[in-house]
Amino acid sequence: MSDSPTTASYFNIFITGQLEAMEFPLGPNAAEVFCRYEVVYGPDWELVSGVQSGISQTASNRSGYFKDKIIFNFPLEWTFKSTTPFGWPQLIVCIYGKTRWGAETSLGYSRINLPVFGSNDNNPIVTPILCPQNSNMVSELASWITGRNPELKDPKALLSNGKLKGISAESYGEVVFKLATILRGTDRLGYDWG
Amino acid sequence: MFHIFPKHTGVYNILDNIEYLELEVHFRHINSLLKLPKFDRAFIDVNINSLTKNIESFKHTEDATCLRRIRWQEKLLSPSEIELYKDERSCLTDTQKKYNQWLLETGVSEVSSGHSSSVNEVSKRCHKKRNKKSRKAELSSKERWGEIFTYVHEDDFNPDDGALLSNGKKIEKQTRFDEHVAAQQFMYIFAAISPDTQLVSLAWYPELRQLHIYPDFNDFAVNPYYIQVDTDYRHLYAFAVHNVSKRRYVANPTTYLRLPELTAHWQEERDLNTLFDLPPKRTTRISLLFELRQASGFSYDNINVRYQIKLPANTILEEGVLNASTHASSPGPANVDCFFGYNWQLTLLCEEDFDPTHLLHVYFEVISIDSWGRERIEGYAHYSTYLLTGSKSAKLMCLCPADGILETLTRYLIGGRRLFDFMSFYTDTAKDTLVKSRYGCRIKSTGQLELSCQCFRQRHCELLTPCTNKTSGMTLDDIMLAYRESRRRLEAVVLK
Amino acid sequence: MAEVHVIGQILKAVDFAEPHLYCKWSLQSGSAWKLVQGEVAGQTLVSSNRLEQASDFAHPLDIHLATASIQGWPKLHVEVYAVNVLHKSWPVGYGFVHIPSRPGAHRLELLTWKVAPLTWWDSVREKFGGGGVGLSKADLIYTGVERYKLQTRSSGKIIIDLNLVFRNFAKFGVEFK
Repeated sequence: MSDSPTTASYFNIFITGQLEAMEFPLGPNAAEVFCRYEVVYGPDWELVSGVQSGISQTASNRSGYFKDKIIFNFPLEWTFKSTTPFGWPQLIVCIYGKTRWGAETSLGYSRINLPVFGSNDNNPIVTPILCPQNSNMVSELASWITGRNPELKDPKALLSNGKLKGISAESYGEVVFKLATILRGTDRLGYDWG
Repeated sequence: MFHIFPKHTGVYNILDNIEYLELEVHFRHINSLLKLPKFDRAFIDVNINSLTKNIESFKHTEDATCLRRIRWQEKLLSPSEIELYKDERSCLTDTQKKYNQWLLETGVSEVSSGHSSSVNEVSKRCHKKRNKKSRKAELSSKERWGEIFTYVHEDDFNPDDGALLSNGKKIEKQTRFDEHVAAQQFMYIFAAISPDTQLVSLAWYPELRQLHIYPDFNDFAVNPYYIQVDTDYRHLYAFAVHNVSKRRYVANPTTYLRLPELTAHWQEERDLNTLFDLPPKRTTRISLLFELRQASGFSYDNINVRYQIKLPANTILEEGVLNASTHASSPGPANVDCFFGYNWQLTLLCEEDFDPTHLLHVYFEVISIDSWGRERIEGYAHYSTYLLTGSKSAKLMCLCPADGILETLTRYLIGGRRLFDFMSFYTDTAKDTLVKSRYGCRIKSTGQLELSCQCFRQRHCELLTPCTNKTSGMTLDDIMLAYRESRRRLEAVVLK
Repeated sequence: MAEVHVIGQILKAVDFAEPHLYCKWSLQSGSAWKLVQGEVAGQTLVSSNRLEQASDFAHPLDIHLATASIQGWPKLHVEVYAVNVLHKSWPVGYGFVHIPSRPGAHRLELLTWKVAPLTWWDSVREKFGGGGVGLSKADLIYTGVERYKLQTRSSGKIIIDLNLVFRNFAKFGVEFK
């Protein structure tokens, strides 16, 4: 790749940071919380280093106040290579909780664009958590009995433009990220990054 | 010493009939790399007894050269082949019988028969004759030494099988596991030197219409191929293969080689790269994006804002309207502000003599219309900006003339707007030059408007006004790399 | 041609009276602008917040435009619709904003308005759900002729995060800063 004569047409971005915490205003509806993340990018992009998906540890705030943040401090690091900013990588986080009865249920989904400009550490990225809702009464009853919330069949639908048209969701809670971006090679391609 | 040129296979796509392929093989035995004069007594014609000195003429060494034109699948018999096939009994396959017929017809046998008959018939009586014949044979064998001969497809020659024809064994049919087994045709060109040496091998695949030739065509003067043979002593040969097939012009050239959509696409891409609307020479294009966001603090509801824009001197309006009105808005249930969210874009051309200290003025009138259709003036506002790039937002305080009792009553009952030259109220006209006097105007302040303005400009980059922005900053290396890559891609498309 | 990349999200809608909302967004631009990659229109999911009077969408936007002129600068149009229990939807907000003219990260607040009910009956119908009055011709927002006859009410705000990357504008002499 380094000998390719088209190296002039690639630019690299290097993203590093952490999934710091999750905040539920009235406490999560689960004793313990863990999440799974996946980074999705457009066809012109290539993941040079870093893992595409991962699972975090199981964390809880049982020992503290119920309104406390649930701290993860889960490290995130990627290096991408691309020819165009279209298809900028996005991060989907699926949040699961373990209730007191041991059942594992989905607590929601969250999606962010990885920062395009080097982010400011004083402004962490805060994104809402969306929990899909049941569409009819029967499934509402079923989920109340089993204690399982409805899940999205394909979390990547969060990235699409119209696939989630009829789906109803409730937002509850926030995920806090601290990410920073370093860019390389964008000037050579004529991009004005501002 | 001599430069060894690398040999590689040439692959050619033949559109024409393969029968028209003609090669010229130039084969030469290099006696020496230096041109030395050769002392040859046989050609001296001198009187030894004469008093004149021995004039020994020198002759430059002549290398034995053979120049031969060969057509596709043209069979040239080697000396050993001739020897083999002239005897009927050693001809086994049909092809060999055919060669035998040739030999008998053309009478080639007499040339080499001298050689063989001289071996068989040893008689003293014919000694002289023999000597003559043998000499002739020697000469002829010398002449025929280094001759080019070919193996064609019919011979079923396998290059690995060296001792093929000398034994006269029946050649087994080779089985190849290719798909095109029936259609492939091979041809080998050899030189009849002490071991028969292969010069050129050709393979023709009709399905693919490809000719593979090893080694590729070359020029004898430029890059001949050298062969070194170590037998009794070291020999050096050079040869070259030229393509002398007559080019025939096809009546209707196949159009598939031209890809109209591909050329059009590249052209379109190239045109798009340079396509941009540039302002006329020596003018600057300025584009302003205004947004009137909200209005608050007015006494009546259902207000709409009308604006008028006054351009500075030496500017021309290119696109946009100078007078317009927003929709009528009232406060919503959640808030007391009237949201407009009205955006408009204005494009101007600033001429050369435009003075950047001149301002662009926007005058606002806030008017309310009630359910009876009465229009009331709610306030006036003014905003001025320099035509510089940047983004600003401002909260404009509105004012309107204060009313006496009569005016207030009229306003409440009838409505209507008093004529008020608010434009000259804000900006200087020719009248007051020394002192700006608003004495006597009784004004009250009403609500406020929130406005934001973004401005950016475009200049025709000439030497007069150089652009100081960052350009793409490509180095020469990047350009050369990109050029080579694109050239390679184009060649791959064109030569396919 | 110069290129503009819009990468961002429609984050949330605040201050709307109705709880369950979804947005339909579209990008309008002049005739010299062309879409290269991405989509210029879309619809978010229906969202409401458990605690606040807001709706979070986090709907991604990724648009790549090419332009031959700085005229007709693109505008982002958003229509907010409310949904009731019976799955009927009606518009509760119209708004549009120019995309910023500088590259960088921007947080835009889009102020929306809805069409005011014309008669008393309309206002009653609006209060008890099942729909307010909408614009019959959507292009009324885009044209500016005699807009003052359109009576509207202020509605909520939409928060949009946009990251803009420009390309090749400097080659044609366009300066943004």
